[in-house]
Amino acid sequence: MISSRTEGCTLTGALSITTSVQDAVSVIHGPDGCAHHNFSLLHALHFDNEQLVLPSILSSSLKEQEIIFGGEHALEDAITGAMGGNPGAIFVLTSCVAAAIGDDVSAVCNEIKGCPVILIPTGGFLGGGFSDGVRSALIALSDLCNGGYPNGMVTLVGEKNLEYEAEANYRELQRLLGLLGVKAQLRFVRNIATSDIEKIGSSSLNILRDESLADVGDALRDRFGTPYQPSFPVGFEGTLTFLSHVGDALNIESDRAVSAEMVHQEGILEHFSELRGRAVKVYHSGRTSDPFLTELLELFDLELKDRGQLLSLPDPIPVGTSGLSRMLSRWQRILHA
Amino acid sequence: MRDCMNALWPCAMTGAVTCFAGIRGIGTVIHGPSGCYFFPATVLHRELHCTFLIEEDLIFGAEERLLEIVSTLRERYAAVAVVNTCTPAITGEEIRTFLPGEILMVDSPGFLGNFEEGYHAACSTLPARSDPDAAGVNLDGLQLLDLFCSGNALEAQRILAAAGVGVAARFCDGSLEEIGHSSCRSVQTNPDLASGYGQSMGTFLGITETEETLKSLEKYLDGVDMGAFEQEKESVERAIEVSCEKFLMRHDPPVVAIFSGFSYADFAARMLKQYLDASVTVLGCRNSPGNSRFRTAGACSLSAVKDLIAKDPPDLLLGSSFERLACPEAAFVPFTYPMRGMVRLKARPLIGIQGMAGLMEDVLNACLDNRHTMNT
Repeated sequence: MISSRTEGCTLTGALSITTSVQDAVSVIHGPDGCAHHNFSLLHALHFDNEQLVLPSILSSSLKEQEIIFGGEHALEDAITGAMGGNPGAIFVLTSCVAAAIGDDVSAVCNEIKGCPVILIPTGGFLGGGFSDGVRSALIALSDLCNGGYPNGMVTLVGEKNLEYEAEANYRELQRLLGLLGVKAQLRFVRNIATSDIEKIGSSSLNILRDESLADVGDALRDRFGTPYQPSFPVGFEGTLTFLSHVGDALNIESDRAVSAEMVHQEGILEHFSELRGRAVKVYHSGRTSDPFLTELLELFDLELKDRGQLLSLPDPIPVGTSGLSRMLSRWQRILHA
Repeated sequence: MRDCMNALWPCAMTGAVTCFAGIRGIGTVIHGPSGCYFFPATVLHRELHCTFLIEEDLIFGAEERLLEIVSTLRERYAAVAVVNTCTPAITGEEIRTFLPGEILMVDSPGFLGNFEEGYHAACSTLPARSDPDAAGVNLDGLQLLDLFCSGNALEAQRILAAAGVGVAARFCDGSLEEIGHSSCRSVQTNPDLASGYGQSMGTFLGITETEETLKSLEKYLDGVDMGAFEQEKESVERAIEVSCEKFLMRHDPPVVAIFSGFSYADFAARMLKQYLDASVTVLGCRNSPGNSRFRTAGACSLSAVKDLIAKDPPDLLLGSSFERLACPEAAFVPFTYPMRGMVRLKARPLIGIQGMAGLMEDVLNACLDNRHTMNT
C-alpha cells in the first residue's frame, strides 16, 4: 500500500470518525502516547468547532513488556475497562506498534460478548495514511447496520469532522436538499448515536463528502444497494449539476430547484461584481480541481498575472453556492484592503 | 485493569523532541511516520524534520532516507539530533552504526515512558560544556511545552539582571552556542526538569525560594545586589496579602484541586494555603510526585482526573483545558499544557515575584468571576 508520506496517521483519520459516535468508546491498541497525540488534536479541533465534549479514547497502554511478550492481554483489559461504561459500541483501532508486534487483535475482539466490538485494522502508518483510516472506519462502522428499505431520504457520508467549516457545509447541503424537498436522515458519521448507524441501510442515496471516498460508496452500494453521489457540490455549475443528479437518483423533478438556485447564484455574482476583470494571482495547495478555478476565472473575467493580487483557494474546496459566496467575500475583502 | 481513558500527557518521544527543539542550532529529526511528527510540530511551533516513514521503509530499510536527511541538515545546523520512534525501535534498526560523525541520538520510543523521561534522556546527550569563564548562571527547567516557559525566562533574567547577575545559558530554550559555554551554576525554574548541567543554586519557584537562591548566589558570585529584589518583594507580598484578605472578608477559602507537573502543583498549593487558607483536595500529577504535605495522585488520564474531582469536588481548579472541561462549574486557572479554547499571547511567568503575583491575581479573578456567575 502506497500512502502519502506526509498525510498523517491512519489512527487520526479513523478516530475522526469513531469519536463522532457519541455513545461509543474508541480503544487504541498502542502506547498512551498515540492516544494522547490524537486526543489532544481532537480536543483542539473540537474547541474550534465549539464542540465542548471530550472524545472517549481509551488506550491499551502498551509498554516495553508488551512489546516483548505480546499485548493481547493488555487489549483485553482495555476493552473490559471500556465495557464498564456501558457504551453503545467499542471501536478497536490498531497502532503501528500493535501491527509491528503482530498481536492477533481480531481474536481478542471476537472473544468479547455483551457489546458490539468493531475492529478497525488501521495499523498506524503501516496501514497507510489519514484518508485510509477514514475509509477503513466508515466501512467498518457500516457493519453495525443490518440492512433496510429505501425511504426516500439521503445519508451524508464521510463529512470531514476535523474541518473548520463542517457545520457550515452541512447547512449548505440541507439548504440545497431542501430545494428538492429531500431530507438528510443521517450524517454518517458526525455527532450520532450508535443506534443511528442502523439508518444507513434505508438510505435512498448516499452523498459522499468527496471523491476520495468512492471505495466507501462502493462498499455501501454493494452491501445495501444504495447508489451514491460522489461528492458534495463544488462550484456554481457543479452545484446545479448536483441538484440535478440528486433529483435523478431519487426520481424527483429537479428543474424548479435548479432554476431557483440559478437565480440565487446570479444574485451572488452580481454582489461580487467588483471582482470582475481584476488581475490576480491565485495560490492553491495543489489539490484544488482545475475546473473549479477555471469556472471562477471565466465568470469574473479574472486575469491571472504573476504580479496580480494574491488570493488563495481553500483546501478543501468550498461547498456549494454558500461556500463560494464566503470565499468570494474573503477575496473581495483582500482586494479592498 | 488498564484504564487509560484519554491519555493527558505526551510520550517520551515528544519529551526528547521538546528538549532538542528548544536549542537553536540543533536540527531535530524525528525518525518515524508523519503521525509522530505532526503532534510535536503542532504544539512546539519550532521547525522540526522527519523521515516520514511509510510501510515500505520498514521492509526495505530506512537507513538511506535518514542518512540523506541528516546529511542535508548538517549543512544548515551546527548539530543534528535524531529521535527514534516506536516502530523503528521495535524493528531494531541500528541507527547509530550507519550515521556518520557526531549525532545527538535518543532512542526514546513512546512506549518507553512519558514526556519527562524522554526530555531527560535528550538532555543527557546535549553537547553542553561548563566554561569556568562564563559569567552568571544558567537557567534550568525551561521547556517549550510549558505555558510559563517564556515568562519564566524573562522573569528570571529580570530578577538576575536587577541583582547584577547575567545568564550564561538556558536549558532548554536557548542556543547551542550558549550551552557550549554554560556556567557551572544553575538556577531552577522548574525543578521537575533539571537538565543536570551546572550545580543547582536553588529555585526561583516562589518568592521565598527566589530570595534564598539569590542569597546562595551571593556566596559564590561577586557583586550580587539584592536591594531591588527585596524592595519589590515587600511591596508585591503586601499587595497579595491585602487582596487575599479582602477576598476572604466576603468569601470562604477556596477548595482547590491542582493538576500539573509535581513541582508547579506543590508550589501553587503552598501559596494558596499560605495566602487564602485554601483546602487543597489533591495535587494531580502528570509526572512522578515527590514529597509534599498535600495529597498527591497520578493524573495522566481523564478518567483519573474525573475520579479525583468527583471524590472531593473543588470550587477552584488549576490545570489544563482537559480539567476545565471535566469540571466546568469550578473557577478555573490555566496552569499546564494544553490550553485550548483560550487566547494566550503574553509571556506569563510562574516563578519569581511576578510569577507569584500573576498566580494569585489569576486565582482571585477566577474565583470572583466564578462566584459572580454563580450568583447571577
